[in-house]
Amino acid sequence: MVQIRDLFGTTNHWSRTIKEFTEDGLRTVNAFLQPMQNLTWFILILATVGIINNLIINYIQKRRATAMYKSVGMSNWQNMIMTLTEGLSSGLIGAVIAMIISWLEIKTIFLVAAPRIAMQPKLELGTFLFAGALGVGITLIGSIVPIVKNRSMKIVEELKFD
Amino acid sequence: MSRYAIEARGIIKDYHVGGIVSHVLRDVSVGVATGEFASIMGPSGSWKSTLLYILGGLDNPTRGSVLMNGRDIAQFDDTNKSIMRRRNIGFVFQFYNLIPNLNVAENILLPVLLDGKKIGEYKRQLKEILEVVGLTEKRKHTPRELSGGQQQRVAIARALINNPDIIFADEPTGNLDSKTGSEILALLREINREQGKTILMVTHSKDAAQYGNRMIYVRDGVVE
Repeated sequence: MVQIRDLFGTTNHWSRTIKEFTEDGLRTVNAFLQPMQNLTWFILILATVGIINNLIINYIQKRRATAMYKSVGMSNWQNMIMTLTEGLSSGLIGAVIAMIISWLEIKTIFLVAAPRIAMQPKLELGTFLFAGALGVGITLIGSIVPIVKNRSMKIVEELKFD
Repeated sequence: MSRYAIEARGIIKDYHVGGIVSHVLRDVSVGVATGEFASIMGPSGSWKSTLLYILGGLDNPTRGSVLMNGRDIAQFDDTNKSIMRRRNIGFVFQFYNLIPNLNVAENILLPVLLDGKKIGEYKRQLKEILEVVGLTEKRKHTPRELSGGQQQRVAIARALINNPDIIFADEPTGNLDSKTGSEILALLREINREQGKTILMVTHSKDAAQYGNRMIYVRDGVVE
């Protein structure tokens, strides 16, 4: 009979519990995923800057149109309602599209890129709704600048030259 | 009750640019009687347009008052000024200032919409005004599908839709050829005569000014 001691008696050996093994595995996976998580925050900041930048460009392009509306009787209150409605509707449309696309994207990645992985991503609806609400919130915050700027707009200066 | 549809009293307008104060309108007092077609004339840089914008409530004087129906519109807050622009005055600009993505009928009805009124109630009025300006066939066209003269007619129609007391026109023919310009001026004269609208027009052309029945000369920010 072959004794284990005879086979491995002179070599160093070690043992690990399942708990340690699991923790070690998680550490490795987390170290691998950490840059991706950091990237997510970076993308979020980039998206915020992009949305606000778009709204400001939109405001600059629409200054003349706003002055035209004001010259025929649009009040600051009406302008605020119009700008907020525009911000809210574009924010909602963008958020719904973004939520659907990201949901499908995550599902598709696991179907296409990793068909042999025997696990399904656990997607929480709350996370998607929070991200969507954040998008709408950022769009509304971005609408504040045009509202404030339009209040003090000098109509004549905007309309005088074509 | 003042005999003037609009009256400026002691208007002073200063601009502050880079710490330097420019006195552009200096104690201007002028009135335009109800039913009058007055032309503000003067060379370039005489600040005649600035005077018109102050009288029309689009700009504020540094000092002085602008009386319309006995009320000083220079003291109005944004809400009252907006209501006044919708109901009491109509503005015609040199560059038309039409909303490009609205059609002719929508552009004309814009002051009505902003005033919270139902468009349905203005169907007859819209039809009549389109006939006056000769654009019945073009009511569904957008401004970019119209010539300059037609766009200016739309602007005049928009100024008329709420049946205002006064129409202000800033160089209404400045961007048009002479033939089209004459047609626009003839239309303004017709509106003044037929509908009794008070018209105050800025122009640097003596020919254009002759369509009106009074000339107001402005030079270096002073009414002569």
